[in-house]
Amino acid sequence: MGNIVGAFAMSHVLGAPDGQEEQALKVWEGMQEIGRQVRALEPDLLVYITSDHLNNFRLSAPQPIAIGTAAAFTPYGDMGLPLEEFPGHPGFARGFLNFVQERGSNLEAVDPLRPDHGVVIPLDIVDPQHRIPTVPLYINMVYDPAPSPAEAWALGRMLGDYIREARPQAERVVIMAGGGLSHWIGVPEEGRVNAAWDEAFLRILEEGRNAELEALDNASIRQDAGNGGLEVSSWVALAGAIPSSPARRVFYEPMPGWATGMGGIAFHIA
Amino acid sequence: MGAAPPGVHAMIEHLIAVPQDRALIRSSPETLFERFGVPKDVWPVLRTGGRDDLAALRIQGNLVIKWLIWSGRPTVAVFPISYYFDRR
Repeated sequence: MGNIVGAFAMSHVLGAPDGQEEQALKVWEGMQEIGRQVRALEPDLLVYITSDHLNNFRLSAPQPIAIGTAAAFTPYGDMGLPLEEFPGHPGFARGFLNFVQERGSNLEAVDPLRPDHGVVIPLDIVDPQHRIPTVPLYINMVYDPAPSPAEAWALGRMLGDYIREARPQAERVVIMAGGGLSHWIGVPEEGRVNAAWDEAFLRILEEGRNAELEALDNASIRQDAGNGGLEVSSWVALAGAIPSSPARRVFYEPMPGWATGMGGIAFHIA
Repeated sequence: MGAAPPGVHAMIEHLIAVPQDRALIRSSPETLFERFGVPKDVWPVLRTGGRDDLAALRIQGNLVIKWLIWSGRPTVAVFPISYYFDRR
């Protein structure tokens, strides 16, 4: 059986520092702190749960839940991000694909795949040398309807089971989630940040009430945290993989200039 | 959520996949509009409209942002990623 040696979640974007230099620095330092913690765990591989931004998926051919199975990935390069290839882990990814499908749930392989900023910003902070094999796992919240928090939770439960039951002895896995917190994308509310909602969401995780996230619903998340806030489904999936583990807040800053609430947490893994 | 005008999502998704065609947004947007069958009544909004105008057309939010960036009308400030990444 493998081991989940670490679990972390953080927002997956950066923005212009102008006018909010102090907050930007706090966010950047928090993201780097998570990176240091991940590297210190010396994982054999990283599973990164996120939503794509329609750079790899099409509205006309929905793939709500998908996994990258390639041996290596070249970033899409949005936001001027570096194009250096990073390693995948096809054995883990294909094994999880089969594990999920055998249980009657929906998970599709996505190939070709050029991960966008949703993967690459956190990854390039956590593993700037691209040494850790990384499996991108997508819960794509760009569709309407999008996967529900209950579906995300169930996917995370299966991910945890897969690592603990089906992976090689002593394999060290870190799971990360990216996206959120509250933000509105391409709509009149863009620029709004609901810090109260973000705080409440983070508090659930800090208090180890992870299972409560399964009962969230997309309509209320969209209403209170925005269409971009739906990305917290990645965090819900991560919590589902480690349902009894509380988290410690590493950083939180409402960043209206970036049009998003920026947060990061590290879970206590027993 | 209702549907965006015909062709608009397909046009923007094409520009995601074929970045070299993004130059047409500024040089010859009609070429794109005609290729993807975008109704003429929404051409002015696509050429000069803002975020809220595009959202009112029911264009998906992520695609609104991309269209505006490629059109030179980004909704948030542009910055070099090196501002952060050079500090790693």
